[in-house]
Amino acid sequence: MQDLDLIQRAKSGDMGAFEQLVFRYDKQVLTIAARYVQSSEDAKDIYQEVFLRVFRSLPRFQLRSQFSTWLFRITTNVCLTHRAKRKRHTHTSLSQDSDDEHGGSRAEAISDSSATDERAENSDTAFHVTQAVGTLSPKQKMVFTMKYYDGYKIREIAQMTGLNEGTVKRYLFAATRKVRTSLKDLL
Amino acid sequence: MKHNDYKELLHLSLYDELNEEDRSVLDGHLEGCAECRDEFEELKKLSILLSHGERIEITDQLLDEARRELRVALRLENSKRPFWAGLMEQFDALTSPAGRFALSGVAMILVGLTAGYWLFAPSEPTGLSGITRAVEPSSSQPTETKITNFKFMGQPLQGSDVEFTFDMVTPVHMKGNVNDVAVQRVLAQALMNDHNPGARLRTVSAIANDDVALKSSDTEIKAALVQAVKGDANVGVRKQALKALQRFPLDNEIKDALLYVLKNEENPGIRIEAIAYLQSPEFSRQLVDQDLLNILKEKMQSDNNNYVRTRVKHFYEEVQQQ
Repeated sequence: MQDLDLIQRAKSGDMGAFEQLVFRYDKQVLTIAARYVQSSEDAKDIYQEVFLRVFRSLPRFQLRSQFSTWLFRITTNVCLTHRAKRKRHTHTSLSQDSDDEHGGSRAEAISDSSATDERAENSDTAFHVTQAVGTLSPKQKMVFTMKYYDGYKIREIAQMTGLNEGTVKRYLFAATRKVRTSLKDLL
Repeated sequence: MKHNDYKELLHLSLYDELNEEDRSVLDGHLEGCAECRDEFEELKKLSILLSHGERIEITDQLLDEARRELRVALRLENSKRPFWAGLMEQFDALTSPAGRFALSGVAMILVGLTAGYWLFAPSEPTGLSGITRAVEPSSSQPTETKITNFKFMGQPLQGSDVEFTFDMVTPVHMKGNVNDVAVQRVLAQALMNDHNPGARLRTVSAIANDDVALKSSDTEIKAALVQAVKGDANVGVRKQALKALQRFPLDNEIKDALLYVLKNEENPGIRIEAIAYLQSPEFSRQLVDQDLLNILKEKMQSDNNNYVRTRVKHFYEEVQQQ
């Protein structure tokens, strides 16, 4: 059954049709949210908020755009305005001079880890990457995670966020520069 | 092309967004520009580093949890929504702005007349599509309509005019037979929307009663039962809903619900019920698909209940032999 049919049925109160519509796209929605907030609990909150908004607004959805475009635009908007329920347990600064809870600078942390096993090293790198991505502005982070972690094309990100391609590129370049600076010691 | 333009191409190359023409332009530039070559190498290292970033894996379990929580939230949302709001939304979706304006006027008059009638007319028992609306002998007074969710709208109007909205809740006492379609509709709504698990349990038990003849055409009841089986927060309601669902012919929709139970239900007793229903003589070859086989295979290996694993294994073998 096409989206259009499901939308019409959902508009007339058919919850089964609404559920089918949700199931077509909800994994993508949850993935975008999880990559953005880096927390499964917060991702579930975003997921729920997205589909509640869809449910409330569906009767007014005029079918001028594709349902998926509209849905992902809601998803990115909800991500951008989401306030994390729980603060992440680590808040160390990534500034050049600071030492972190790992007991040294990032470069030291990695170089000293040559004696430890590879898993610990990867986990340490992952920690720093996450921290670096966490320093981005919400829009930069949204565009950056969609590109690097979800693998969307710039054109697709533009459609999903409602930004034009030039703006997406601008956010992406700025984000890459910022992350690159944050991780300079590891490069 | 300026040097900065090549830097942009470097980034686009990193994002795998370069077309063939731009790629060959960039390759040509890289051959002669050491600065850009160094930057390109660093960007490649950055890309590798980023691939080590933490990522939340979207497991089936996480997705199922999200879906289950959404169902509960939708049920609450549905129950909060006044009936006329849904009506207005459908009406919005169906009409043009001009028609909408005209129909709004008509609707307001009708609402006014109805409100006046309910508020001021003495109540009389009225028939509702085959349902006896029984009024208790002691309640011969006019039925008490409660006004809730009262809100003034927008800015204060001039003079003594006021504008507001409210919900009218009228207690209804119904007496009827569960085989009656109108009664079934009310029960289906209660099963999906009532906050009280005790009320939902009584509702689903009434539907599951052996004296009730459920027809495959009772789509509202069936949809409510499927929703309850998959997402009701109360284990008793899920169990009774599954029992009631077995009164319907086993079709793809029910098979999917049973597989969902088998995969996600925490209570082993309900999982056993689900597999028993799948194993019933009603099960036909037409219901076999890859999803079914995958779930059976997974459950016969990984279910934490020994009996469930054995039953699933038997069923899997039966299906394979069909």
